[in-house]
Order: sequence, then structure tokens, then C-alpha cells
Amino acid sequence: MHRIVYFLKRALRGIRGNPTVTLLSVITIAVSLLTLGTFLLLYQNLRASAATWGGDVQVIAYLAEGMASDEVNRLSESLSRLPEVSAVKYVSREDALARFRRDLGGQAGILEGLSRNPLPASLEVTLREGATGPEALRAVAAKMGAMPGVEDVQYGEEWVAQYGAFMNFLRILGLLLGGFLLSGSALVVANTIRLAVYARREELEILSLVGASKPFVRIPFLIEGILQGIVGGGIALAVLYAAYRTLEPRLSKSFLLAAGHFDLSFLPPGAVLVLLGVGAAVGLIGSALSVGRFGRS
Amino acid sequence: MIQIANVSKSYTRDAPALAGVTLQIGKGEFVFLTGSSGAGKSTLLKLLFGAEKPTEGQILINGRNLSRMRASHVPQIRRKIGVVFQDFKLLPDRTVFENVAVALEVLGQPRGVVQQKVWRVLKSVGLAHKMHAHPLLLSGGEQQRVAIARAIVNEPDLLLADEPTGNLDPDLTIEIMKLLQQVNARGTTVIIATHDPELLRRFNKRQVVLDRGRIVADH
Repeated sequence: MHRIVYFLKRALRGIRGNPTVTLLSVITIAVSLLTLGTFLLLYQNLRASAATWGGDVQVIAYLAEGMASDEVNRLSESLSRLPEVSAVKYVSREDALARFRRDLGGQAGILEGLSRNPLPASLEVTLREGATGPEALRAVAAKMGAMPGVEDVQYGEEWVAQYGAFMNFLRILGLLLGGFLLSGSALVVANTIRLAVYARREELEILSLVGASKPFVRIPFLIEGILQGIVGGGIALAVLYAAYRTLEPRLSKSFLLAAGHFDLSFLPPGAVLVLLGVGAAVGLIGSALSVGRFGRS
Repeated sequence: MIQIANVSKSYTRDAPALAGVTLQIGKGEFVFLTGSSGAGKSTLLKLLFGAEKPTEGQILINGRNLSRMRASHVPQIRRKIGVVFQDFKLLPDRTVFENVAVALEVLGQPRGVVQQKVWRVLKSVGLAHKMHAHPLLLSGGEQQRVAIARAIVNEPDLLLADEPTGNLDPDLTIEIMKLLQQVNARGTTVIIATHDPELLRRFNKRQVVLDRGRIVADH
């Protein structure tokens, strides 16, 4: 324990000896983690908000031809019992044709040549709020499709696919951009520590002279790097939180969020710790890159 | 205690810094390593504290072969060897206490032990009253005494001094030499590299004379 305190004191002394360069290093890490954190926050909230877009989201189960009314009733009850379902509405073949004719408007004449009604009967299922996200839609559609009497299920697959593609894109962009910026930050830390090693070369020479082992020499620099990373992470989180608190009232009132009765949320404690951990890791890697070289020289 | 067997050291293809040096130094001896500039005195000292390895030959200190030692083991050897330089090599932004304490801190000694040992050794070199001063406020002689204190605080078996009085006036030179004699009297082997003829004349000790990397006299 006393050793750790000793190394920590040496690391802090090193930081005090090089405050400007250290600050630049910390800011670089902060900017990288702020970028990563922003993407994370955006992704998290978009995902959560999509899950609450409700009201008009429906899944339509098209029924097999010739189903008796009691079969339809039993199917309707089965669907109503699904936890995600809030309402089930039966649309007969005749109702479907009448609706189609209305939708066609002036073009309804094309239906005059039909010898029979091609449209199937269906059950229109409205989902509860909180069960309308893409994953929930797919899950309900799969359950419905497995029920006897259901020929086909439609739930706006195209929208779901586009949403999924967008979220994937966001995730990949965030990881790539964050990864790129964090790699750059590690190199900045490496440079900062290299400057620190150079500035303290006299001290290091003396330590070597009196028999200091390589770990004894290196550990304070590694701690310096970790501290830079954690402080950078802390700054990034503070800025992100300040931005969130400023923008949250305005964004909550926006149409998109109001429609879904959705509340924005900040990063959970786990994500906060991960970001700080990433900062510490970047600092550690950066300083290890530098002191490794020193040890070999 | 020290056995140097046919040691050579070359930095370039031209004249070697050391060539075929064979030397034995017993425990508790006081030896001057002398010769003109470039004779190889400093090179030999560097080999003795493991700063460099010989190109040929072997160096044994207390039976341990320094020339074949892995780099990771050298720090252990250095903890029992004190080194003093002409330019003192003190940290200007640390106090006298902190400069000496560093030799104990690398061993992980607890704070209480460090304080006790540093105070004791500073007292022995007559600088206990300047424990909290910074080196730049001290005279050359005082700074060298701090360097000697750091070199002996761990009670080393061997003390190497490379021109320890090179930057000092005659009075301070005598002061430092008396201190080194006291260190030697307590059982530490002392090897001093110097080209000061006055020192050699005044202090009647064994002299190993080097010339162009070879031992030409040992008396």
C-alpha cells in the first residue's frame, strides 16, 4: 500500500512538472470520449424511443380461406391473450374489399371486372406501448405466424429493416469514429509521457544508478497515463451530462418524443464506468508505448 | 572482492577504451585508478557498476559475474554499490533529505526507516542541519558530501568515485578525501578514479595506473 502511495506521489509530481502538455493530453482524451459518449447516448435513446412508438403501429394477420367464424373467434382470443397485444379487430373479406375500393378512389373502376373477391379476411392487431420496437414487432409477428389459421403476417418490415440498418450504421460509425479518435489519443498520451520521461531524465538516471528496477521507474509513468485517461473521461462525461441537461427539456417536447410518450435518459452507471475504463485504458496504453521504449534505451 | 580478468572494451574499431585489463581488488581496499584523460579510468568504473558490459573478459564482484548478468539483475548489484561523480548528480528540485532518501526508496523501505537512516548518514557527513535545504544553495563540497551520503546510505560493499574532487578547491578536496577514508575505515572497498597528482601524492594508497586502456603500473 505504501508503495502504491509512493508511486502515486511520483506520478502526481510528474503531472505538476508538465502541466500544459498533460492538459493537452487530457483534453484530447476528453474529446475522443465525448464523441464516443455522444454516439452511445444517441444510440441508447433512439433504441429506447423506437420501442415506445405506438398507437398506430399494427400487425396484420391474414387469415386462411374458408375459416369458420368460431375458428376466427378462437384465433382472435388467442391473439388478444398475447401480452404485447392491446386490441384485435376482425376485417372480413367484404370489409377489406370496400376499404380497398375507397382507397382506390377514382380508380375503383378496375375492380368491376373481378369475378371474385381476391382479398383475404384479416385480424388487425394493435400493440401496446412499449411493445412496438423493431425487435418486439418481429417477435409478435413470429408468434402470430405460428398460429393455426394465419396465412401471412405483415408489420411494415421495410421500416423495421431500415430502422435496423440505420441503428447498425450508427453503431458502426460510432465505434469507428470513437476507435479512430481513441487511437489518436493514445498516441498523444504516448508523446506526453515521452516528453515527461525526457524532462525527468536526470532523475531517471539517478534512480537507475541507485538500483531502481524497471518497474520502479516505469510504474509512476503508467499511473500518470491512467490518471490522464480517467480525468479526460470525467471531463467528457461532465460535458455530455451538461449538454444532456440543457437539451433534454427541449427535445422532450419535440413531436417525435411526445408522440411516443418517451423520456430521454442519460447513460446508465455501467456505461459511465465503461467510458471511464476506456479512458484509463487509453492512458495506460499510451504511456506503456513510451516507457517501453525508454526501458529498452 | 573484485576480479577483473582480461577485460577489453571497444566502442569503435579504432583504439579500444580498455585492452586486456586484469586486476584484483580485495575487500576493504582503498585504490586510486589513475592515468591521463582518455586512459580508460571512467570506462573501467562504468563496467564495475554495470552501466556497460565488456567486449571481452569477465568481471566478478563478490563472486557474481557482471559481464554475463542479465540486464534485469543489474539493479540488484547496484544497490550494494555506491557511485559518486564529479558533477555530483543531485536533483536540484529536491531537498538534501529527498536526494539521499531515493537510494532507500527504491528498496521499498518504510518511511520511518528511511527517515532514521537518512538522518544518521547526513549526520555522519556533517550535513544533518542542512537536511531540508536544496542542493543549489550548498557549496560544492557540501553537494559532494550529499552525493557521498546517498552513495553510502545503503551501507554498500563497494564505493566508486569518478573524479569526486574534480570540481572542488584544494581545501574541499581534502575534506572529501577524509570523508572517503572514513567510509573505507568502516569496511567499504573504495575505488577512486582521478588524475590529480596532488591527491596521489598526499594520500598514500594503492595506485593502478592506466595508459591507453592498459594497466601499466600497480603499486
